[in-house]
Amino acid sequence: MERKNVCASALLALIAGFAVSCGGKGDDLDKSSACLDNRQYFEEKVWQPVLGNVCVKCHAPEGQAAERAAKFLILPASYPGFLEANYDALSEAAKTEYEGRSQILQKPLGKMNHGGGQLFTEGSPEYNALSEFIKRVKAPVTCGSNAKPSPLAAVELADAELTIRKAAIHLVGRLPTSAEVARARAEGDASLDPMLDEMMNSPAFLDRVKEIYGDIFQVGRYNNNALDLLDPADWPGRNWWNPSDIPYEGLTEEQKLGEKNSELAIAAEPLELVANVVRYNEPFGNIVAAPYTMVNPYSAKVYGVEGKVTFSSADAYEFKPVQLTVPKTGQPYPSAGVMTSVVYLRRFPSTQTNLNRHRARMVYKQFLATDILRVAERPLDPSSVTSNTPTRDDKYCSVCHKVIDPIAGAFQKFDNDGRFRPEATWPGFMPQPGLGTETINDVREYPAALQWLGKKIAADRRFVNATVYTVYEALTGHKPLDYPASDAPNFQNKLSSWRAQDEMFRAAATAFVDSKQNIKSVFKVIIKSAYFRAVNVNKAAAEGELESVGTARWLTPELLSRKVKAVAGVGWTKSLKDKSEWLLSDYKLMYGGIDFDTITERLTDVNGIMANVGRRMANEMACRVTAHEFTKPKAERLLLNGVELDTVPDDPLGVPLPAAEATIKKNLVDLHYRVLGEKLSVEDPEIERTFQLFSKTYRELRELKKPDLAYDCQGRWDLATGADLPKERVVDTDKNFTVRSWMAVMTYLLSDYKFLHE
Amino acid sequence: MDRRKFLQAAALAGMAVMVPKGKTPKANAAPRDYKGPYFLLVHASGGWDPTMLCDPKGGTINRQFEKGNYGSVAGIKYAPIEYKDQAGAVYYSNDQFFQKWGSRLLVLNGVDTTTGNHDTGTRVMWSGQVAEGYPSLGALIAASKSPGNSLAFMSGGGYETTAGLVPLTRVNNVGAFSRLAYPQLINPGGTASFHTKATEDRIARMQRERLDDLMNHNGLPAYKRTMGALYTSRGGDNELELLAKQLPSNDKLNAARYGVHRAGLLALSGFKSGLVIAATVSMGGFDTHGNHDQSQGQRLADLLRGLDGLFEDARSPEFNNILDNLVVIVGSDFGRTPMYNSGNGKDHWNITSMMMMGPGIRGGRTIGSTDDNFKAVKVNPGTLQPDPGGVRIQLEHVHRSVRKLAGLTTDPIAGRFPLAGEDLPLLA
Repeated sequence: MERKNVCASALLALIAGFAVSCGGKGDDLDKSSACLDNRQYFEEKVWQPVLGNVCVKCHAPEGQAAERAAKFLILPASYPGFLEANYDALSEAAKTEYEGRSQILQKPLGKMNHGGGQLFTEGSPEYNALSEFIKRVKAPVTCGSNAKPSPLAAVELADAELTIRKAAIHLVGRLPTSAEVARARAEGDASLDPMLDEMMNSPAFLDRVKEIYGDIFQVGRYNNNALDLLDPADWPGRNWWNPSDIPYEGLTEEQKLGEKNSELAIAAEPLELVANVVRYNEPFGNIVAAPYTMVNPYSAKVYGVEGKVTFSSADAYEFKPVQLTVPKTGQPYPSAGVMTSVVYLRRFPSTQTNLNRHRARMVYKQFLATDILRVAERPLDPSSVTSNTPTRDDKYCSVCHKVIDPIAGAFQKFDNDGRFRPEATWPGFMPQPGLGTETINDVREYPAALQWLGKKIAADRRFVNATVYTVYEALTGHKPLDYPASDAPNFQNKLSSWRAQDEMFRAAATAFVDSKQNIKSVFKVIIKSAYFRAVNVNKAAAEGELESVGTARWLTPELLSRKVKAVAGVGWTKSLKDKSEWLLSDYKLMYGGIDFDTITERLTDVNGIMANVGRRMANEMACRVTAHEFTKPKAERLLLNGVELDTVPDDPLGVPLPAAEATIKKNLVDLHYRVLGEKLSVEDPEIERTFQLFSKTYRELRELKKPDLAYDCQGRWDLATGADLPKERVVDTDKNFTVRSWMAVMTYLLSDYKFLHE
Repeated sequence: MDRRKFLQAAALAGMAVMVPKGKTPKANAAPRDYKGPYFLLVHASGGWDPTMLCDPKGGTINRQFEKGNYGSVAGIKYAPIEYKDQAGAVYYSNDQFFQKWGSRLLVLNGVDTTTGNHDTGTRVMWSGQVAEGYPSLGALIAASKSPGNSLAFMSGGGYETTAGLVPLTRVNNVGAFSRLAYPQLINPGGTASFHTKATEDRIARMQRERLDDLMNHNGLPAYKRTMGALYTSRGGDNELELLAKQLPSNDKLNAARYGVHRAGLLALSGFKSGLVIAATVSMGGFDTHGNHDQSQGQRLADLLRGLDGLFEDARSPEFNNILDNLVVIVGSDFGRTPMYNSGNGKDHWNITSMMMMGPGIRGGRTIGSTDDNFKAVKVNPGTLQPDPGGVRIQLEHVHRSVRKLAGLTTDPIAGRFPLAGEDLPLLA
């Protein structure tokens, strides 16, 4: 039975710290109050003042109640998904009754042998809040139209057309096609899902997914030395390309290619596995549970499985899943998604005393949305430890170790170098392999413990959270908001921000589960949300309000590199001959990128050096493409297809030419749209500003009377090949002073906030 | 409001990178009147073992030397350890380092990090608080001393949190840097520019005006913050040129064999340019859960040799003898256990040491101590002598002292990040 339109008095809540359901009909609803559904009620009236303030002191995982084996445990806010977990735990606990009353009312009254004694009295605000919660468990409350208004209601969103543009840049590194733009204009938001689906079925999207998970797995460190990670005693085919062990300089080109492509394949295994899961819409949990390994035609030989898999060609970039066999035993290799890949295991190595805990920590962080180090970050005093096995016996240590050690145990058949060793032994003081309260009890199953673990992780709600958070961070550049500390300044504003974001996360999680763990569903929910689409709000947010709404993201070197190419038609390469991209080579780290080795955290805030990278890019690209545009017929141009070299704003006497001005402004409107994603009219002040830049530059140059165009900025080469253009197409002078005027405009736009951010 | 005042005000509001409504302050007006001291924060990542360094124990705690056996200089005792290569030849020793620099060094022993957790330890070491959210000491000093200077805080690793006070700068490619210092030149070595000077100025002015309008018409914090960040980071052409002129050559960098020295040279160049106010340097490998004596010893030797080389450079004419105007603080996540584990390693221990030197820090002294079990001994808050009724030295005490040294006691930006505990007279 549901009770509808139940309200809670905001005034009463403020005074008493709890609310009583008004019950009944909609006409009971006080205009100054808002209805709280069950979850909202729990969060506002039960979690905040009662569980999170009182009960958690003993019922946290490392608390006294836990030490006394209490069944009812409360996760502090440092645990991901703590609210859902605690809501579920309390709902479940509420069902157990004693003398006709729920135990969650009896215990804090000091009854039922409550270890913490009496905490509340009957009729106290805390007691009443719990009492109301119990009623709601039996008769859930929904609010319908009386629900509390979302703080996002005042937020202005990008329309479908600009949303698909932004999504295209993020997901597939291109601008939307004209067909996509037309569809977005015609169908509005209804067009987004199908168009996003199409984008996410493209190879470019798979590359983006690999980039996202590459940041997490950090296996890019091994791009040039992955073969060395394999033990040739385990994998006799490791050096298949050089069976006679010839010195490198004596190898044929074919052999060198064999090595290079084998190297590439081993390093790419984990990310190719993720891509395969996405490509074929497998349940995303397969990234930790798939019983296969990804190989290309070269690594298939390394692993000795070339007979088990068929490739369409010798393309090093064609990867197929295959079940590996351990050559020594002929038994199946116990593949468990990325966790059993040697590059993954080596990227997160273990030691004789670390005993796979580092790996376990990474598993928690990457797949269970839990930073185990945050769980126990409160002050402690390990120097007071007396036990010989403190990780097991001392509460300072065991708070984390009892969580991570079972996962560490699941890695026990993989040695410190990532080699599968089914005969390996495990210290007796370490717990059995497991996850949470579940363990593997049969030692014969230990060699396949990671497969067991992978399936458990894939089915864990925290894996859903981890996936949602990963996609969110990739799309927005923001980390999920932390639940605010109760004494934080502007707590209510921050709480409101957290709630709104949490609501979106839950929607994405639901979509993920409902789609049988198709990660594309998560992308779609987040892209359609205010967290991706918000562009403004109707009044300035107060401190703590609307945090993380809208991406406003400083583009990574990789994203900017693709955007430059998408907008300008050519990339920012070192030269027309040398195709290495500045942003992916010399400037990658200084622009905030990572090298997967010593620098593993991206910079998200621009600094002076990064700003100058943007400026140099804008200058060099403006130099490269502007004159070149005029070497092509209008119909083939990307940027300046409305003007010609002699389209000048003034006549030789300085008298404005209205028709020319209109033509130039029309082109500026197109440029603002293409470069910045702005839909402006010719009357817009921004167009006028850019026009002023153009016309003032034009006048300055005309007065200087110097038509010389710097050699590097001349239009004399085919930008794709670097070859010389036919003489009749060459633009090697600026006699009309318009090339450099348009260069100024291009520099202005390519170094604009909206170009450098998405 | 001029740029400096505006940025100070914005920083106070937690929005160092936000620009108020109205006209954009003049660009290129970032103050350059800060004359030091500069701050170099050196992090030994992973948790070093002070008992092999400046809090010698010997015996069961240190298998390399007997209990009671130690070297000394001024008021500092140090472990009598010689670092040897595989052939047994001594390549460096604590003696060399401490005899050379000990009279300048202040050692803090028995410092309680209150954690055995790497992330938390790193955070509390360099922010003074266990919980998240506080900026690195370097970011705080940089933001306070040089508001609006986008290069004031340079990172060579370690705890990099800025809390939005100041941009974080990484410089790793000296060769490519010159192209960035002169973005207006087609080739950095030449004179030809992409645009005339007047056009350059016009573009810059119109960009500022546009950014102003965008900021003033957008109420979302994420947009305001990032627009402000772009504003703050621009207008620094002269700054990058200054820095580019001071950067060491690749040959000099390559000649510095140890990471701390190499990264430190970039920091010294930044200090010399007057732009960088605080810098971090980090060196890993101290998390020696196995084969402790050898592994930890190698890292400590590299750290000390790196510092040795860096200090020598810092007191050379090439760097204007900046050592006399440089505060150096060396710390780690935490310490290591007094006992060896089954792999001859040492695990995490919340008690650690720090080493400091610079103007305002009286060297040749040791403050604080540990007992025979390498547990912290409480000190009297007034005399700093052992006192069972006293307090344990914690990072909040250290940070209070360093903030005071940096003149941040009443600084409103620092006031947004209050520290627990009481003032201890640690430095003077």
